[in-house]
Parts: sequence; structure tokens; C-alpha cells
Amino acid sequence: MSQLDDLFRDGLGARKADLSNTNDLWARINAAKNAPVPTGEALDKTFRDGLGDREAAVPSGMWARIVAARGRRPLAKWLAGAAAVLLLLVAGGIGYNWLGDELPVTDNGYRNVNNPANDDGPTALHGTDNARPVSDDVQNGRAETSASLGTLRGSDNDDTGNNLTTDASTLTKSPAKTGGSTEGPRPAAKNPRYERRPAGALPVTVKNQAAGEDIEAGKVLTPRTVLAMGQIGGKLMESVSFEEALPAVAVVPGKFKSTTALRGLQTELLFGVSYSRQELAIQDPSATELQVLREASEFPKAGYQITLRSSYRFTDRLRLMAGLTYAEIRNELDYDRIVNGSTIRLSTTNHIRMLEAPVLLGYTIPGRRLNVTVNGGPLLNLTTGVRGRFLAPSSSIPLDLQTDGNFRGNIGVGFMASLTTAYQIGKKRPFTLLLEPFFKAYPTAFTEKGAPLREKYWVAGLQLGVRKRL
Amino acid sequence: MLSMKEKELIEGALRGEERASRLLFERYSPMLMAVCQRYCRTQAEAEDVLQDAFIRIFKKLDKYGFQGSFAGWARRLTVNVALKTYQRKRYALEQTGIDNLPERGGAPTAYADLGEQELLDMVQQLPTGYRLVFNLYAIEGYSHKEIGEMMGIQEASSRSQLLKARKVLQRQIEIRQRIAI
Repeated sequence: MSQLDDLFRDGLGARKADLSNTNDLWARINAAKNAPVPTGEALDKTFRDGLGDREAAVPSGMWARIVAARGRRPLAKWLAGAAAVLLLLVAGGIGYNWLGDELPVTDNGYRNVNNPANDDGPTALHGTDNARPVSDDVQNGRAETSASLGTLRGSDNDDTGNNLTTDASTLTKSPAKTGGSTEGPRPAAKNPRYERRPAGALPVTVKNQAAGEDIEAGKVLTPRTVLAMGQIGGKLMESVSFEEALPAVAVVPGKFKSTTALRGLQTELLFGVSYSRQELAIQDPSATELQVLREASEFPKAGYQITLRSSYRFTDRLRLMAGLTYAEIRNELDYDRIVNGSTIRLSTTNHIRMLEAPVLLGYTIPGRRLNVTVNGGPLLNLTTGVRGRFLAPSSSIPLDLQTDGNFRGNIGVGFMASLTTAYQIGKKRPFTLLLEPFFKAYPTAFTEKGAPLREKYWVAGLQLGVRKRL
Repeated sequence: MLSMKEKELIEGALRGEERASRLLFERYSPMLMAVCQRYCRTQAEAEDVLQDAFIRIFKKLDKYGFQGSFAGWARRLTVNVALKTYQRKRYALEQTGIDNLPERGGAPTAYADLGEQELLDMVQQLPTGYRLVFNLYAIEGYSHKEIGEMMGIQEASSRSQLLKARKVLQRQIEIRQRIAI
């Protein structure tokens, strides 16, 4: 070693630098000594003079980038529009659910009657002539129908479990109008049992036989009553025509649309935590170092998602679910930074935020209160955003994922599978608790095609939530 | 006052003529690129801001109204785009503490010999808040009140950021001078 030292000492020890090209060195030293560093406005002026009117070289492809960007369809706006429509549909469903109590329902100038007491015990339906109970007709011997229409279950027997019994003997022929009616009585030959009443002329009282009292006519329906009514209408058609049956169940003018279309509609709100697995694959051999660095510095962290969706039950076993999910994938970035000679361990969180529309088909294994549904289907990504940083071998500071991470604004279609366990709580206004483990896979990369690293994810988690029937 | 040719170019761009738009871009992009570089930390960010700025310029061209200098109008619009870009990033920057990175030393240069590139390097290395306020106050000539309104911060905060920016720049110059000597 000493020989090596000697070699350099002998070669460089007595060396004098060539100062022939630095004639102004002394002047520079003097200038620096004599010129104090500017402060305040003088400092501003230095920068203003140096940079104020400066021009810089523009990259050659800049005009092409601008032209391409100007011509691009504003995808984000379309996606935002689609998301808004979906949200509106879901919100509409919820609104109908909770505000539905105030909505009048019938077609052809009828609306329904509230029957808050029909949850328990058999309920009889009576026609009334305004204030006059229909039972008068029965007493007068004018009631002709005696066939029992049987026991009608509410549309949602697994949620409500209500049995509505219609006693056909209480469906009576209405007293004939004596005049002034626009519709007038039906010809007896055509329908000897019932006549159609002018709208508003014949409110029906729903009688709770168990309670032995009539429910006041003219009130609007609760959703549950609407469902029950729909069922009753359907059953009545087995023995009498719909037109005949309608006056007996829908009595006051209003706007009743078909309730059967909403019969199987439910709204679900779920919140869940998730684990996300990041998979980095190199697209370019030169990115190996970047891949190693990122894999060594980024670690999965618990994410979460919130879902609002509507669920439509086709049959007891088959249902379709669609809605909106806001999901966040989170990764922790750990790295060391040397500040004033000491190493500081820094840790930050990267966020990948997604707005998605799951469309799931579910198969239910039914039970009395507890049922299990296996769901699966596409997951439409509406928009994706990223915030955070990553380490790159080319940079001494962490780079911004948003600007340098090559992330796409939309990652296309993914897939979701889940297993929903539903447990019904309550009888009068029942709702359902949901527990749902889920798995989401995104076959397409989160990064752009030309990116050196292809970044993909799969997500697994557990959601808890509630379901409310319309 | 606008020169006749400049006015024709703007009118052509307003009519959607590609050639006029391109000539307008070629005329003003070097000046606006320099503005973007001052407000951005990296060249890539500056290019992104320039792209957004020109998209906005062409979109808002009908609002120009041929009142005052087109260069000044385009420059103000570019500054606004740069500010908006950093306002969007503010949360991430604050959260990750990227502003607290240690100062980098530049090439040894005496104060008297500081060139454009050295000055630009020093400005770019300023923490984001300092950089924006320093650019707006010292180079663009906005008042603290205007800066406060533009950035959504207090007037006092603008003053404080300017003082801190000046201190950092002074220190940078001192370091360079010391090394140069």
C-alpha cells in the first residue's frame, strides 16, 4: 500500500494547476468579496432581471401534445355523467323507499289507503260508500260474493312475514248511484256483483279484523301496504276481473303505478376494509432496478370501500345488484433520508382512489331469517386517481405518482365476487344486516401501456352493511 | 398594441384555423415555457403546465377581446394554470412533506456571475409555497393582497413566505459564492 501512496504523492504532491485559462479568477474572488449578497428588493431585482423576460426552449413534440389533448373527448366528463346518473338512480331508489310513505299510488285515478295495522293478523277489505260502512250492504243482503280469496302473503315473505287475509264476503257490491255520476253503475248483466265508482266516490276502508276496527280511508299507503295491495290485486284476478277487484283495494284518486315492478327492489349500503396486493411487472429490462426499489419500499396497507347499490330480486334465488362503489387502495412508502448527516426514516401513504360501478348477479340459498347469496360480475371503473410518491433510481427524491407514475385515469373493467350473508332484523319495519367478504380482480394494468413498470392489483376484503326493502 | 399580423393570427385561431393556432403557439410558447419553468420544480411538470395553459388559452381566446397585450393576457392565464396545478397538489405535498427536502447545492458561481440557469435552478429548488409567492411577487409584480386572493391564503402568509423564500435564496447564493472562492 505504501508504494501506491508514494506513487500518487510523487505524481501529484508537487503539482501546480494550470491557471492560464482562469485569468479572471482574482477578479472574481475580489468581486465576490466586495459584493455582498443582495437582500430584499435587490434580491428580487436580481431574479426579475435574470428571469423576467426569459424565453425557454419548447420540446419538439409539444404542439402535437396540445393538438391531441384539445381533440380528446372529455372522458372524465362522460364518466362523471354516468356516475351521476347511477347515483341518481340509487338515490331515487332510496328516496322512494323512505319517502314512499307519502307517495300516492294508483293508475286510472286511484290511490291507496294506508293500513298501518295490517302487519299482524288477518285483515279484511271493505268497500264503503263514503262514510257509510259497506257492512250496510252486507246487512241489506246485497253482497253476493262468498268465495274465499284465500290467504295472501305480502310480497316479501322473508322480510315481513305478513299474511293478509281477504274475506271475500266483505268485498261488497257498491250501492248504485242515483244520478250525477259521470261513469254511472255498470250494467247489471255485465257485472252483477260490482260496479265501478267514480274516482273519489268510494274510498275503501281496510278493516283489521283482529283489532275489530276500520282504518281511516283516504290516507296514503306505506310501501308495505302497497306491496300487499299489489299481491291482493294479483290474487283477486284469479276469481274476479281486475277491474272488478280494483275498486275494492284502491279507492281514492291518485297515481298508482304498478307496484309489482318495485316488489323485489332493495337498497344496500355497505362499508368495508380491504387488503390490496400490488403486482409490479417490468415492461422494459431497464426498469429492473425500479421494480426492485419499489418492491423494497412499498408495502400494502389497509384500504376501504363504501358501496351504495340497489338489488333487484327476480326470484327467491336470483337477484341483480348494481350501484356505486368508492374504493381506496393504500400502500405505505418507507424510505430513508439523510438530513444533516443523520438518517431519518420516513413513511408516507400512497392512495389509489377509484369510483366503480359493480354489476353483480347473485344466487341466494334462502332461509327464514338468514340467507346466503353468492355474487359475481363485472366491476366497471368510472374513474381512477392516484396520490403519493415512489422511489426511482433516477431521482434522489421520491417522485410524484400522479405526474411520474404513468397511472391511467380509467382502468376499464374488473371482476368482483362476493358472498353475502344476510340476517333479517325486526318485523314491523324490518331491515337486513349484511356481512360480505369480497374479492376484486383487475385484469388490466393501472399504468399506461408505455410505462416501464406494469402495476396491477387484486383486492380482498370484508364489508358490513344494511339492506332495506322498497 | 397588437401588430396587424398578431391580430390576424388571433382571429384565425378564433375561427379555428389550425395554421394560425400553430403560429400563435410558436410565437408565445418560448416565453410561456420560461414562465412554467419558474413555477414548476421539474421540466416534466413545466411541460404539463404549458400544455394545459395552451389548451386554456385556445379555449378562452374569445374572452381576450383584443384589450391590452396578448402576451400579458397569455402570461396571466399561464400563471393561473400553474397555481391551480399546485393547489391541486398542495394536500399531497403537505402530507408527504416534500417541501422539507434539504437544499441542493448548485455549481460554484460567484454572485456577479449568476446566469439565467443558476437563477432558475435556485428558484426551482425553493419549496412550493415559497416558489409560487416569490415568482408572483418578485417577478410578476403582484401585491401580497392579490397573491393572497390568487392562492387562497392570508396576506400575512404571503409576506411570510416571501421572506422565507428570500432567505433561502440568499443562503443559496452565499453557498455558491463560498464554493466559487
